[in-house]
Amino acid sequence: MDKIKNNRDNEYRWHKLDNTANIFPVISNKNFSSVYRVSVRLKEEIVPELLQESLDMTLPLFDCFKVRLRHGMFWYYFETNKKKPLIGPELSIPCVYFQPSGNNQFLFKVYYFKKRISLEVFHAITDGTGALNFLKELTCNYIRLANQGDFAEEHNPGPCVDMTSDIEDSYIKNFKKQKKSGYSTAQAYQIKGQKLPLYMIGVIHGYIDTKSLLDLCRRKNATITQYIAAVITWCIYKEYLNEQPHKHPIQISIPVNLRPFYDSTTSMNFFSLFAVGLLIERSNYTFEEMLEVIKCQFKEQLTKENFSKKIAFGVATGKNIFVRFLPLPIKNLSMKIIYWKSAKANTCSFSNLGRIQVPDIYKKYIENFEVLLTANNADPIKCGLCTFEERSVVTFTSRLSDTYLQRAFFRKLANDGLEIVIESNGVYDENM
Amino acid sequence: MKVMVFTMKTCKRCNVKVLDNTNNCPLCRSVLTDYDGVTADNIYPAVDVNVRRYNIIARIFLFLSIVGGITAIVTNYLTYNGILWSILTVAAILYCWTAIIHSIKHHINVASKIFVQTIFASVFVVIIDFVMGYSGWAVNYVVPNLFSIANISVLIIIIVNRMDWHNYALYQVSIGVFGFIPIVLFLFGVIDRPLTTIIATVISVLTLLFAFIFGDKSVKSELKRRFHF
Repeated sequence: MDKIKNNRDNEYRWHKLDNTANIFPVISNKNFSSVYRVSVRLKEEIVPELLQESLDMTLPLFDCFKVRLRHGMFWYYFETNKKKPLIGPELSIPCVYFQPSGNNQFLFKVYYFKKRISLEVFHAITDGTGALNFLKELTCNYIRLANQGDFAEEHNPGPCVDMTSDIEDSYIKNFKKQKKSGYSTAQAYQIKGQKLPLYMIGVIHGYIDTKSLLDLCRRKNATITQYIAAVITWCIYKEYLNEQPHKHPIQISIPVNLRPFYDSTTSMNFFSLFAVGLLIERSNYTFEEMLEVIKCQFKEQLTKENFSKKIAFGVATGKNIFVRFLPLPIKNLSMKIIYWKSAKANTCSFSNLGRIQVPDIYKKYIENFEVLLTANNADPIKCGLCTFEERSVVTFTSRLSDTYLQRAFFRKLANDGLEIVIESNGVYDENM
Repeated sequence: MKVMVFTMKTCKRCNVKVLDNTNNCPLCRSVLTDYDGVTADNIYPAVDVNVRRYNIIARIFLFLSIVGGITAIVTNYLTYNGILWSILTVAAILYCWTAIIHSIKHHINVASKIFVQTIFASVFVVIIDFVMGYSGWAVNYVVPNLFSIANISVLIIIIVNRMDWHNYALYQVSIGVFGFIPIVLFLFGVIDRPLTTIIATVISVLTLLFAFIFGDKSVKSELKRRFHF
């Protein structure tokens, strides 16, 4: 028996999923992928060999991406994945589900198409901020490899993002025993309509000049997130409710990066959600009225106290002794039931990834950044916003074959005096 | 190669510019007015509608299973003679679907297959025993023997693939623990002929002892992460 000797367990390190990540392996499947995409558009065509090389350079810096998902008796966990992640040409459908045994068991994939590099990430490993950091590092490495002439003097520039591999469950770290509050489960108005064919997602990008968008928001005395959330609410009210009262409120769910609130640098998930919107009780709302309501809701809800309560709720549930010792299959079943009960609490989701910063020397190679949230049958339309330098990109992903919301949204912004350039993935052409 | 095309068409109704290589506005489908006649590059791969493979074999089996199950139930009902044998037919069909699908998937750990097969087979034989008029042969002999065989099989696999022991550790311990089910049944008086049960229990105890005493750091670490709570 003395032959049984190896030290491999030193290499196969493992860590637990963070407090919110636990839900994603449970609820995800082909129809509900929990995969989102962040992309960068460069000015030159992508060379696959160089992209693979830059991925090989980038991955060692991000332990939280270098994992595979395993299941234990009571919880899922991540284990170091020793295989090599491969890049691939973009598929015709964005944000497809990662089969547990496919993709060398990695939970992210790097794609290329013409001038775009796309990073698709399963939400269990990290949130938008973590994914953007990975994409930025990957892009900077790629730009250096592709333009070696321009970077000849620099020998070892080091990572271009300041936080890399910090595996910390910041939910648990910042948990205080206090008043708890979970997410609202009251039903919100649901956008319905004919769906696109199986798994297909319609993508519409709208390019807007950052400065004119900022000027517009300043004139209305609102932030960009507040303004866009108000426009989405307004368009749902106009297009889907036909300006009539409805018994369920319009609720726009907005994810918030919690790192700045708690001074965290974790590379795992650390976000929370809040919802804005209103119950439509009459048919003569004006847009300005709606914007005021939503601005107030931002002020009330976007506070550290509010998020602390939500963290307290999530962590306390995870620490509950009965929950902890429930075998995984039973836990999964109950989590599914609870999740789907609360799934109708949103009408639409909007995520603003904010202004994306890269070191100055790389800026001239980059056109813009984009984010694609995964739309699914339960949550058919989502909207994401990325700002890079003078180019802001609003991206709608949708499972619906109609484009009423997108149309009203961009028409409203165009009416507000913005110049808008539209681009789509061609799905709406196919389905004429 | 074309340069980044920002020469574009306009939708007059939406008041937006459109980059797509198309004649209709993606938002409102109205015809675009050409700006300068230059067509843009597509920024997404061509749309592929048929993504789901049409698996004819699986569909034939599904069809036969449903027809077979319903035929059995109807025949059993029409010619009822005191035995609900159609339960057996339906159970057998379900057993085939669940257990066999799990067993032929290539990425699943072989020890996991043994574990799942043992559980499903045990449930199946107990159902057979009940339908045929309960005489206790399933719980007395078959179930304990299934667990003994499962324990020994996994042990052989581990001895053959010593270096990969940690990959089988979860299932080894699970089968070992489930191997105590017969002795629990005996304590509750369900089992009246305890010889096979005693053998199965001894094998389970030995398996678990073996894992805990001979398992090296990698096995212990594997068990720790698999059972973390």
